[in-house]
Amino acid sequence: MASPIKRNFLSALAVGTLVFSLASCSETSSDQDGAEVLTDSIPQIKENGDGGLSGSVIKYKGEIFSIPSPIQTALLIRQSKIPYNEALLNPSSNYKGYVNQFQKAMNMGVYGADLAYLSNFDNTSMSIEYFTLVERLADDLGIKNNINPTIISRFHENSEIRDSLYVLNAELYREVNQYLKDNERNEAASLILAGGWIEALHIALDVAKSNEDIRKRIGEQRSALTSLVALLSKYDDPQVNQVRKGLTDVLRIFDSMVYSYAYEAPITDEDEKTTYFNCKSSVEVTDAHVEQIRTKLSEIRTIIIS
Amino acid sequence: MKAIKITFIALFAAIGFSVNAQCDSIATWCGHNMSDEYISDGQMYRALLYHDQVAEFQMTMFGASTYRIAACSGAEDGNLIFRIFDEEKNELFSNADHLNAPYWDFVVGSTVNCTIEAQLDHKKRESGCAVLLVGFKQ
Repeated sequence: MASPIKRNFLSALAVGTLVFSLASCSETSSDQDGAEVLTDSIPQIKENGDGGLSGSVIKYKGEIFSIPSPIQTALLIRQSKIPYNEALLNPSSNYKGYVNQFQKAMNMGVYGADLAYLSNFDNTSMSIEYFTLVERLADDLGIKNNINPTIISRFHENSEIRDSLYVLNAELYREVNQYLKDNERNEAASLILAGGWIEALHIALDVAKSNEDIRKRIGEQRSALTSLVALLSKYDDPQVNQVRKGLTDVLRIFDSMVYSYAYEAPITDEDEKTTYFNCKSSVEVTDAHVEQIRTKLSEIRTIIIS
Repeated sequence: MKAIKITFIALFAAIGFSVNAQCDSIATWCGHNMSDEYISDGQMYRALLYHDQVAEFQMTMFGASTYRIAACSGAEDGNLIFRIFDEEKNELFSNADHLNAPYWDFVVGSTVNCTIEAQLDHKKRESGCAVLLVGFKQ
């Protein structure tokens, strides 16, 4: 057994070596280890760059993902002027059945997307009810105390102002995303994103029957879905695997759609700090595609909200 | 051995906390470039970068939408270069052509699947937390 003096010396030596290693990392280009030491929630070096900017490319454990916001879909639905349909929502009574992290995180995303949909209509009591569910799930997941309390108070003060609801909903989810990543709870962060995306697609599919813009927007989700499947494949959990397998089937339906893309040079207005993207893209989404996605997504959603 | 383990854990936690705190304060700073008319996409894109490292992520920019991208590293503007490429690797935008502008708006006519790359301007900053925020117009 080592003596106390020897133990202290070993501790000091280990700390000294580590500090020296970190200092070296920050001053040389040999920084892969440094990135790994710093924190798991920060992206790590995966491979060398193969184009674009010169230098090594880092990705968040393989990728940094961007999943479209459910609010953006809700705003498109608002433009369609299609009447409110309460049957599309995950009933608030389901909340009490959510006991594990998978259910709580996924449904925090689901209720957030429902809240975005509700914000399209002047239904203050329902909006407050769904915001309260989001708050409760945040509390259950141990996040609520780390959310800026002014977001919650502003929501209650502005619950009748539609545009404020979108902004506050988005701010809340960004804070949650940041907190979970800071605390290396990437799985919960990913499940919230997945739940929100799935619910937004579920709502959009209903509206797609009578709206060509929404139908096109659904077809344009292929890249996001690809990211989502990759994101969920990082987690080995039976329920997550079920959802990922279902989404992989949905991705096959997207892959059968016809896509086209043509580059055109963008135009920049320097004074306005604005660039206009002029590329042309299209996607053909048939009734059969919508129906196939709806059937498959319904199975996935049942796993999540039941 | 236990003492070493505890020391290591404490040190890792302290470093992790420090990096996260740095990223959080940069994100707060960066938020000043995201005006009220833009709604956050609900995510934060960040990476700890050294020298010429490049962080990249994929993003679909939907047609008939206006986006704002804010890019920050450190408590002053202009340290971060970001570039946007389409799916055929055509460069659509680089803020390096505009004095490393800390934010820029994009009017998207037709949906485009993009790759966004971010890199520190090594003339201004050798290492640090890079933060990108994405917002879209109501």
